Formats: sequence, structure tokens, C-alpha cells
Amino acid sequence: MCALVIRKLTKQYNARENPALIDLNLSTEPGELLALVGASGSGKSTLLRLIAGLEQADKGSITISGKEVSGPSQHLPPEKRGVGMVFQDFALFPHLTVRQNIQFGLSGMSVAEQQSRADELLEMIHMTSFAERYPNSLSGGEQQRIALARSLAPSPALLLLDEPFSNLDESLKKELRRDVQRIVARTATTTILVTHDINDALTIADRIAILRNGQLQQLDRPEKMYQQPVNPYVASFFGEINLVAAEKRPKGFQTPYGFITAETTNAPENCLLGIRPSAIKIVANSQDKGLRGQAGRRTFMGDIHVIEIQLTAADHPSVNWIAYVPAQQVIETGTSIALQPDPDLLLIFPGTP
Amino acid sequence: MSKTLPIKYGRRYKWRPDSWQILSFSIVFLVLLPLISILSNLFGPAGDAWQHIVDTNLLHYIRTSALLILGTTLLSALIAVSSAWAIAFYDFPGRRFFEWALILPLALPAYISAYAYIGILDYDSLVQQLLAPLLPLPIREYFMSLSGAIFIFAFALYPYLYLITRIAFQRQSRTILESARLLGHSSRSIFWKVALPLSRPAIAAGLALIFMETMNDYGLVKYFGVYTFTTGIFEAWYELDASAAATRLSALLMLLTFGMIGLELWQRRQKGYASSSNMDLTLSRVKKRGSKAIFPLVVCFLPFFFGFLLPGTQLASWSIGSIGKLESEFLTPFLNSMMLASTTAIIIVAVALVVVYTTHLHRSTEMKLLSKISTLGYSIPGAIIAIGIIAPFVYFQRTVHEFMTGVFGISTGLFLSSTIGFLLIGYTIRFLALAFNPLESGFERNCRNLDEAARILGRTPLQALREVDLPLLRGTIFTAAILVFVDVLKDLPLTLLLAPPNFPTLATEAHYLAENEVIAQAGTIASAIVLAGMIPVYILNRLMTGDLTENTEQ
Repeated sequence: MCALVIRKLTKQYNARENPALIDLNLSTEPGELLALVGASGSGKSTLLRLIAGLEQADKGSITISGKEVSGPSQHLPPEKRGVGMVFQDFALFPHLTVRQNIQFGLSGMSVAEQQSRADELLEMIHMTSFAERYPNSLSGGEQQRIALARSLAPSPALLLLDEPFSNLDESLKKELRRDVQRIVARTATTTILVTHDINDALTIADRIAILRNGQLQQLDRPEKMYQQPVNPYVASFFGEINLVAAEKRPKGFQTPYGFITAETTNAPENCLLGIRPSAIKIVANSQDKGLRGQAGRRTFMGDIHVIEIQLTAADHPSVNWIAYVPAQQVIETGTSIALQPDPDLLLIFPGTP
Repeated sequence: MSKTLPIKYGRRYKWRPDSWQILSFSIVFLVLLPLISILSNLFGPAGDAWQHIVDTNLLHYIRTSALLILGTTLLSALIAVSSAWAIAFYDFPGRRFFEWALILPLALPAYISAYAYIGILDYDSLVQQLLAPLLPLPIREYFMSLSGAIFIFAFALYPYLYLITRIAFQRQSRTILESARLLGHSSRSIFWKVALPLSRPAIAAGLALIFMETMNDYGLVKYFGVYTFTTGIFEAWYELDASAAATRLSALLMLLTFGMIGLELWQRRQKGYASSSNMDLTLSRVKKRGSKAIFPLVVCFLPFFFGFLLPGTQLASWSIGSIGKLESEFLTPFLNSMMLASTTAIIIVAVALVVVYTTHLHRSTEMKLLSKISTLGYSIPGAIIAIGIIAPFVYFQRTVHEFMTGVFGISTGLFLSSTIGFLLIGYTIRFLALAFNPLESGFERNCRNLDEAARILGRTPLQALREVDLPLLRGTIFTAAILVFVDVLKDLPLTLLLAPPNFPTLATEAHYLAENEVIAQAGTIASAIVLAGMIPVYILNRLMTGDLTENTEQ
């Protein structure tokens, strides 16, 4: 059974503003870690709050473990949904000890059961010695793990993580991503992680869902999403991307700035090509039909050089592309260069810009 | 859109209020009821008594009220802005003392300050003896006038404006002021061209508060014989015995108040000046020593002297003079006041908790607006609220009386007199904001999403409130209760109109004694109110400067 099924979910906070979520459909696979990725205002936090029952939807339904918790007929309050949630600021109760925090959600159990469950979780997060401390005396990373343990203590059917790493510094992030993945995997809890940082998602998620303006753009495994993004917006989440309008030809694509050779069968007549900066090879000379440009500013980044390239065409405005070239390849600013995009890494989107 | 889904998922949910919302709506409705009852009077006939007021006194009420407001706001603006400027931007001997001493007049309600001043200027006073050769009339006669009232109001109420303006000055972005200085402006020029315009919204908010407090007062204007709207309402109510006319006057004053609130909200919406959030980044103060310190010292000393030290000393000397002579008559009003103030504090804190927690649970704009409406009572003069509560009852009894005498020849008279219940309702409406505001910011600051976390861990809203919010808000709840307690203690107009007969409180007792020229005894009772009033002044200072941190258990 799916831990979570969402159907046609719509939420509008204010009649004068655009809806935070529009007709959203989504379901989880058992035990997976699904990352909801989006810029701020994309509706990802709203979705999380709707699942938890902290907000009420306007339309649609949410089903948790086969039970409809939100729908036209009813809105189950958060305390009856059986979900766990880790808040962005961890929301630990400052007036309770670490142990009391972890036991907070276990009020249905006997005192002895509560204590052994808390011990078990403290063990799992390697923080047994912190049991009697108060949250204010703990570091951000420690608070994070306590919050995770607290939300897992009642064995929720679904675990929600709201930007769990955004309050932590970079070095701590890496360690905690691994910790979270380990702990969640051990309990085999279906988990939804909300983040604006694609790296969080790439590191630990089984599948990624990208949201934009309240609409789901794509839901896929990370590799698939990187290789076959459905639109340039999704593609741009994995780094910079150069875009150009093109027409399909037998042996490749004709763009205003030159021809790109590629053996592609299933591309539409008019399309938009996305080329990642790392998928461009720069050569001094090539056949005169190919893409050409003028090398601009060059920035040394260690392993690579980032090169700005200006592409010009007679009846089109000039555009600026970016390419990564190996550090040892020296390209002088102002020289005319030929660009060879890797045909296997071309991203083809239907339509025009 | 997929067509396979059942059609019902496309339908918008029905809105179902929970019990918290229903309770909050009822509270807001109760708060609005007297105000609605008064405004509805505007549309009916007002009777002969109203015509009489229109023909005789109405213009006089309007003119006097206007002059009183104008004089009070101008004088208090002069006092408050200059002292706030000195405290915020200069460093001079005694600055730290004056920073909070300038708020002390808040402990002295205007009517009590008036008793003290009349004590100082009375027929047998030292001042009178000194000035007798120079003046044809006793000095007291000159002082008990519109100008005297403006003087007392300004020195009693300026702290509201002083506090708001000082904080506005202190929170102004240091970089803005420093760039003004680097661009070649003197500190005087910075004051007029940068600091003052940037603080305009805050100053306007403070002036609106002073307006409302001036219109609320009855004790001082009655004592000085200054005929404002509020005295008019009381006169129509008691002397003309015309509830309809009193209601009509109240409605007019209420419209005026709403106009003022609207104006204040409008000017605030005009420009959103961002202030620096970082409090450490305040401008380093300009050091003033020796003769250069005279200006800031004078500007700070005068308000403190006339607003607190002088009247306070007079009150203290009365109290000391009456030690041991305190009669048992003092005990009843004291106990009554304590009972009223503590009961009201408990009711208001409970009511405010319900409304604030409901808005915290349902973070919708509608709920926020509704909860703000519940605090409207604080801007409405107490006399209006009292009339709004009691007029419908008087009207009802009169109708019964007329019916009974007409049909059965039995005179029922006014069979229901005002009860303590009315008084408590009146206090709750008027002072709800005092508990609401600290609780609202307390929830915002201390509880953010902690109760949401508790909900997800299986607690109902009530359980979350009890187990998480209340333990974290203990300090805030105490603060809110104290603020309400003391304002009830000081209140005069509401209490005079709504207290049952033979139910004296400290404030009404002081008022009657002063009216009957037993001024020394009035002052003694008033000192008790002032002493109690100094506690919230201390709290207010800490609240406004923002260093009242919650002490959570460690």
C-alpha cells in the first residue's frame, strides 16, 4: 500500500494571489525517500503542511496509508494523521529534556515502554549521553538528530522533513545527509524531504519531484531526471544550461548560429535544444557549417575554465553561452572558436523559447 | 485535467469552523456588540434632549474638544520629540536615569495629576500666598481651565509618544544617519531632514494614542469644568437623564475616533520605512559635557519634573500626612478595586489566550483581521463602551415601565441596576488589547511552530496549549495580567458609569472626594493607584526596549 496518495490537490491562500498548489497529483512508493525540490514560493512547503494537516486544502484529496485524511468530506487534524515531521528550525520543546522531547509523541504507551523506545532511538542517533540535557545546550546538528528521533519515535507511516539541512553549515550538511539517510533507511519509513537545494535531493533521495508555481514539473529518479528533463526549468536545476531554438534536419539540428550534428530520430520538427556547459567541446577549426562563436571572459575554477562564448547570427540577436573546458586547454579571449556539442548529451525540448 | 477522477475532487471544500473559531467569533461579536448598538443609534430619532444639546452645547463640546486635542498633541509632541531626541542621540550626565524616568508619568493618570496640582496651587498653598499680590483672582481659578487641562494632559500623556519616538530614533539605520553626516549635515540638520521624517509614522502612531487617551478622560475635564464630548456624554446621561442623547453623542465621538484610527492606518500604509533589525548598530551618541549638556538636561528634566516629580511629591506628602489617620472607609474601595482588577485580569487573559491561540492555529488573513477587531475597544473612550452596554438595558426597562404603567397602572421603575457583570464586560472590551498584544508577540516569539510539532506528535489543540504553549508563556501571561490589573485600577469613566450603586473603588472614591473638595484625602487614595501603576511602567519599559526575554527552565 502506498503511504501517500495525493489527487488533484489545490490550495489558494488568498483570492488575490495565484494558488500555492494547482491540481497536484503524487504518490509515493513504499519505503522510498522522495525529495520535493523547488524555489521559494513553488508550493513545496505548502504541500508538506497540507500533508501534515497544518493547513486545509481547498480542493482534492490526500490519502495516507489507504485512509483519506483530507478530502471534500473531511479534514483530519494533524494529531490523528500518524505522520512525523521535522521542522526547519527543529521545533524542539525548550522546556523539556531531550528524553522528554523524544517521549512526547509516545503518550499512548506505558512509562516503561516509552523509556525503552526513547533509549532505542537515542542509541540509533548515537546520542544516549544527551538524554537529560535541554535542547538549548545542543548544537544545530545535535538538535537536528533529536528532532528526527522525536518524529520517528511513534513509528509514523510517513515522515516529513521540511528543509532539514538549511539551518546547518556546509560541512555539517554532508555528515547529516548521510545520517538522515541511514536512520530513515533503517526504519524503512516512507519519507518526503522538502528542499530548495538539489544537492540534498541528489545525495539522499530515491526519487525527485520538481515543483514550480504550485505545479509538479517532473517526478523521476535522479539520473533519469538529469538525463531526460521534461523542460528547461527542470534541466536548470542541475546547473547552468545553454538554450537555443532549432529545426530538425536529417543529420542533426539547424540553429540560427550554426548546425549541430546529431543522429536523433524522435525529435519534433521545431524544438528547443539544451546543452550543458560540460557537454561542449571547443576546437580551433571545424567544418564551416558548425556552431561558431567568439571566446569572451574566462574564469579559472580549478579543474576547469568557465568560458563565456558569444554566438552571433545575421538576423538574430547574439546570445551568450557558457562552456567548461579542461584547465590545461588555453583559449585566448577574443579568438574565434568552433563548438562541438556532444550529440549524446543533447537535451531536446518540444516548442520554442 | 484527468477525466477519470470522481467529480467531487474538483469541488471546493466546505468551510467548517472548529470550536476554537466559534469561541473566538463569539468573543469578537461580544466585543463589537456595544459598539454596534451605539452606531445603530445614528439612524434612529434621538429625541428632544438631543435637540436641546444640539441647540445649546454641541458646538461648545466640539470646539473645546478640538482645542483640547490640538493643544495637548502639540505640547506633548514638543515635549516628547525633544526629549526622545536628546536620549537617543546625546550622551550627557544623567542620561541613563532620564531614559526610563521620562516614562514615569504614565503611572500618574491625568485626573490624579490634576488633584495634585490643585493641591499645590490651592487657596492656602505657598504658591498662592506668593502670587496673591500679583493676581486679582486665586491662581487656582486660572489653572482650572482649558489651558490648565492641556498642561496636565500633555505632561501626563507625552510618555506614550516619547517611548515610540525614542525607539524609532534608536532603531534608525546607523548607516543612513552616518551617510547623512558624511554628506556634510550637522546633527541639527540631520534631525530635521533625516531622523524626523523617517520617524513620522511612529510619531503619528504616538499622537493617535494621546488623542484616544485625552478623549477617554472624564476625571480631569469634569474637575476643571472643561466641556468636552466625554463630559457631555456624562451630563446627558445623568443630568438630562437622556440615554438616547448620550448615545447619540457617543456615536459622534466614536465616528471621530474611527476617523482617527483610519487616518493613522492610512499614514502608516503610505511608506514602509525599513528599520535596521540589528539593535547593536545604533549611532554612537554625541558626547555633551559641561555647558553643552544644559540643553539635553533641561529638555529631559522639565517633563520628568512637571509630569511626575512635582505632582508625585504632593501626593507623597499627603500620604505621609495621613499615615495612621486612614479610616476604615478606605478599606472597602481598596478591596473592591482589588477584586475588580484581579477578576478582570483573569477574564481578559483567558479571553485573549483563546483569540490569540485561535489565530495562531488558523493562520489566515481573515482570522488575523478578526482578532485585531477584538482589540478595537482600547481606542474607544470608556464612556462610549459603558453607554453602549447600559443604554440598551435602560431602554428595555423604560419600555417595560411605560407598558406596565399604561396597561396595569403599576410603576416598575428601573428594576435592574447596573451589576458587576456589566462592569466586567466593559473592562474586558476596553482592556482586551492590553493582554492581546503581549500574548500575540509572545506566541510569535516563543511558540512559533512548537505547538504544530506537538499536534503532529498526537496532541489536540487544547493539549498542545496546555503542555507546550502555556509553560513557555508563563512570563508573558503574568505581564499581560499586570498590565490589565493596573489599568482597571486607574480607570474612572467606565467604572463611574457601570459600577453598581454603593460600590466605591479607589478611583471613584478619589474622584468623589476631589469633587467635594476633600482634596488631601483624594490624593492619599490616588497615591495607592500611582504606586500600583509604577509596576507596569517598569514592565512597559522592558517590553518596549525588547530585553524582556522569556525565562525558560534550564
